[in-house]
Amino acid sequence: MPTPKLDFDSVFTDARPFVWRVLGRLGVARADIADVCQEVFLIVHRRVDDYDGRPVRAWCYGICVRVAADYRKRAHRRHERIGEALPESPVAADQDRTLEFSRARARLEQVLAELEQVKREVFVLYELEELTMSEVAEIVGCPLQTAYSRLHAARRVVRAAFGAGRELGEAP
Amino acid sequence: MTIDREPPRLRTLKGELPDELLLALQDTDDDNATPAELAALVAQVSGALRQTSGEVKRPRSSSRASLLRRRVAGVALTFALGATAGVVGSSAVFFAISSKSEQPLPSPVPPKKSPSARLSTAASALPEVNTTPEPSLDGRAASARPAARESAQVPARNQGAEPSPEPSPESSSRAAVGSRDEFALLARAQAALAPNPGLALALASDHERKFPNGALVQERELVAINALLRLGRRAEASARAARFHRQFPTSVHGRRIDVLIGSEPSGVRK
Repeated sequence: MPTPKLDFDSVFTDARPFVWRVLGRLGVARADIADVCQEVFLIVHRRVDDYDGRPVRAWCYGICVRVAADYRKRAHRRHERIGEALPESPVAADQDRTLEFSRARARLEQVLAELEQVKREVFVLYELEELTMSEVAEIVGCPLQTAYSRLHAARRVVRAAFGAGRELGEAP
Repeated sequence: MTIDREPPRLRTLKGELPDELLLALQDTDDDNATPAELAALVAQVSGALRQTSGEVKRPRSSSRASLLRRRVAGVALTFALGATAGVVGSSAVFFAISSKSEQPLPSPVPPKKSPSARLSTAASALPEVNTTPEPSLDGRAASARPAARESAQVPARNQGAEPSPEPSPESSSRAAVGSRDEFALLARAQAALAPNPGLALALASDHERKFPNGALVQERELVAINALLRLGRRAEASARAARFHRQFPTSVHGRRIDVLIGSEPSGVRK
């Protein structure tokens, strides 16, 4: 069955805001996001003819997830602590950003940076990008049940780090 | 664990989670690229594609390594230019793209002179360059980057054609990659948001007039709505947001706009 053709320009136009956003949420340091975005879109450009007909967003998210995972491996090889690569003073001075919020975000970032990447992916895609769990499972390429396990594991870690108790309905 | 029903998202569990965690999970503009960053990205990717356009017809089997090589080559050129930003001079730098959110941006230098010089790609602009800083993804090199980027950026839509030196209403075809003038204008509007929302709104209107079918129409609307809210013109902001939703029902900015309109405390000050 023929799959619809994708046009790079339209993918690029529609996807660039969320590609940017999700890369940051997946742990790409702010200073590197533009370069990693570029990497994503060069892959999109190269593969646009192989597009398999699945929802374009999911397709792009899938590329982001893989590129961000590679990025994280590279960063580890460089022995960098990417979790700490948070926006610095210029942003802290931003009028819109309260100190409280910055601290909360920094803390979350630290927790996520410690998580296994596969758990972080599921957490970010479900909790922050608000995709459905079946989309998430498809994007990260695992069975739905595995995606749920990762989500719950990530939630446990995040909640514990913020001093929250168990999830409702969760066994003690 | 239920498989058939998804659990509520943590950020919706008000009262059940520590405030700090709820705050951290908030949907925030901080995660989004600023229009200026998006504009820089457009230019960067266009430049990279241009760099590789000669190789686009390579065998499909081209590996990730070769992709990286190509990409790195492009970045290397960009960096090299950045290293000699002083030499390349202001004509190459139309707008400083901040890599930080809402950092004030220097005023763009009007691209008056020699369009051919402006169009010079990284490859053709290299002769004076001797040093090539390490072109890795390494964030440590980032400080040299913002000024470096735009010097090698060429809108891909203009491949082979020189961009018009004067901003003028664009043709009706939607330009996914936009023009430098468009980027510059929107970068100024974005930069003006916090210090001077009135100016930001004026610049957004300017953008609307000059680039009715520009590549950054959605980003412009985001700026305009944000500016209206900051000016306390809520009704107009809501009307504009409604228009945005009609015009771009699937836009990824839709939710952000809802957040802006719906909950002032997170991102909007009166």
